[in-house]
Amino acid sequence: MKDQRHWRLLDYSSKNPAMNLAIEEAILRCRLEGKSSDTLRFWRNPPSIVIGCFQNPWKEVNLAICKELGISVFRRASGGGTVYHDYGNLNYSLIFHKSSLEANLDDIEKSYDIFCGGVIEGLKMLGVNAYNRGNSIMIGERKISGSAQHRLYDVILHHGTLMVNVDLHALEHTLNISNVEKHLVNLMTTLSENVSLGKIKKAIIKGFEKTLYVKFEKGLLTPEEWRVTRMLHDMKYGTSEYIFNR
Amino acid sequence: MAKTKWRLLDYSVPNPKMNLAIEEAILKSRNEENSPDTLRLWQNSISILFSDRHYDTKVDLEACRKHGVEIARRLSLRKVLYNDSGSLNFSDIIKVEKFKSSQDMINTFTRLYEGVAEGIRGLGVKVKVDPYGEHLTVEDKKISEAAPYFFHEILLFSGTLFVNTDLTILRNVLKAEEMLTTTLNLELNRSVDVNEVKGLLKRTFEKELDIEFKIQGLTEYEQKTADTLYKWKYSTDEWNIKGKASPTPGKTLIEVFVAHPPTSMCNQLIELVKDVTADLQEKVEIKIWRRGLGIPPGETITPGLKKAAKESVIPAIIVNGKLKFGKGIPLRHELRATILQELETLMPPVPLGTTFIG
Repeated sequence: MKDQRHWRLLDYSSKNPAMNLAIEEAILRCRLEGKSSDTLRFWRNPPSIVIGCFQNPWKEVNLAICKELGISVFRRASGGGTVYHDYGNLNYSLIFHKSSLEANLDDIEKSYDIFCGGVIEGLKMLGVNAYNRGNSIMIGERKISGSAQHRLYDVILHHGTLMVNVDLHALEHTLNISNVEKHLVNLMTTLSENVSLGKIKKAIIKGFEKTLYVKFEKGLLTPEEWRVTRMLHDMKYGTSEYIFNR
Repeated sequence: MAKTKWRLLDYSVPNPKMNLAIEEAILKSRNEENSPDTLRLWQNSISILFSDRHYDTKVDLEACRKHGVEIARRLSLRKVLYNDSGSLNFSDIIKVEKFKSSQDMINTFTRLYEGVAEGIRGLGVKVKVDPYGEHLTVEDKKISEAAPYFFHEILLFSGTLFVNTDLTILRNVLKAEEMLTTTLNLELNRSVDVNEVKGLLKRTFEKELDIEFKIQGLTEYEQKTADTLYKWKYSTDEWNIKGKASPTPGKTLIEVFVAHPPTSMCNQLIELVKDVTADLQEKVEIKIWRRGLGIPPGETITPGLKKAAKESVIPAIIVNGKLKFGKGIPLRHELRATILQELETLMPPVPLGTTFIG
């Protein structure tokens, strides 16, 4: 049997959503050049809205209400839909080289099953039964997590959200969605007892260790990753040109 | 303070398709900063200009044949537009700042249209600009219509003014008139000459828009571009019937799709493409798209580019709309061979034999 590979576990969030998005791509680029290791990252954003790479903010977001509530809009590198973020939302990201996993990842749809599987496994340890439908993780008929991918050459960034205790009221008003409670669910409301964020993270780590057959070790961002992060923040994620220009 | 200078271009040819090719040539040349902001005043031979897919529900093709009305596809107008030697066409081709809102954009259209409206008012006809800048009306009758088109940051605002247009033929060839139409002749009850109106428009445009005109002709570069566009686009069935044309008529299009900002490998690929095509500059056009920055208005999204964006194939080389290389740097001779092969398949399209389509 092959040895378990070691991945970095990075638990770092900036208070600036644009920086958080820049960190994602910085790790991706550094991994591509062999300057970073495969990584699992947990992070959270202050109240903000993150739209998909190809979306139109004027169409997706109620910008007037966002302005009123002081919520800013950001654009991520991966495709997919619009997400409302706050501290009740736990994000996880897997950034790794294709060759690091034995699974065949060329079929994008199948790869979602593999990565969502890790989160589902973690939820099971917390006593929650979930399943995935494409890139969404569902509990019953309600969605608890969404994910998206951005691939650069043979390096994959798979990131997703996990709604732990999100302000659904704010989500409903900023994204122009009605009946959110019918379609979305927070993890807290499905658990019988209060579970700390640390325990949730631990469960997901174990879930990924089991499904991906890897081992995680705590690590930090490297100086090179910081350099690229700042460059990407200034040139891309922090500019209104990138966020609104289309 | 010195006033902004525009070119006043009074230039038409008796061929509607060539007139449209000239319009696009000015637009492209303006985008490349090779031309100044321009007001073009022009006339067409009897024709129908359209860009609507369902133009045949609005146009009586049999009647067109009978009256010898030529049909040509243009860039901008959603609607169907009737032209004859009694209609005066105007095209504003100007660089615009980014609009802050849709109202800001509509205000620009109506401001440009005021230049035309004020000229007609000088003749004693009471005209109104509609709130969206789509037409001019005299007591609910349409006397002029216009439509916008964007290419990058260049606005083409073009329309026609019915001076002494033959409305009998117009009513014959258009199946349904959305609005009653009138002409300057009818409103003033005398014969109005198109040249008289041109002179008026020049003065009112200068006043309304606070600009100064310099009367100039078509540049050599514009003429050359127009000739190519005519040969490869406006004269072809592909364009006039199906509405399809290469985004770079007469040239092989090489698109390079890279990350934003480009990685070192992306830059390496861009350099390779430029290097391999260095001796083919007359025959190829290279466009570099950065993922996530969007495509400027007016540019075509080719099938290959769509595929690369959707499947995250970065970087990618797309030749003539076909995704040829992805996720790596091709060997120099492979790339060269693929481009040469595409060059060979690029044969001039067959021009339209007759003046009619449909």
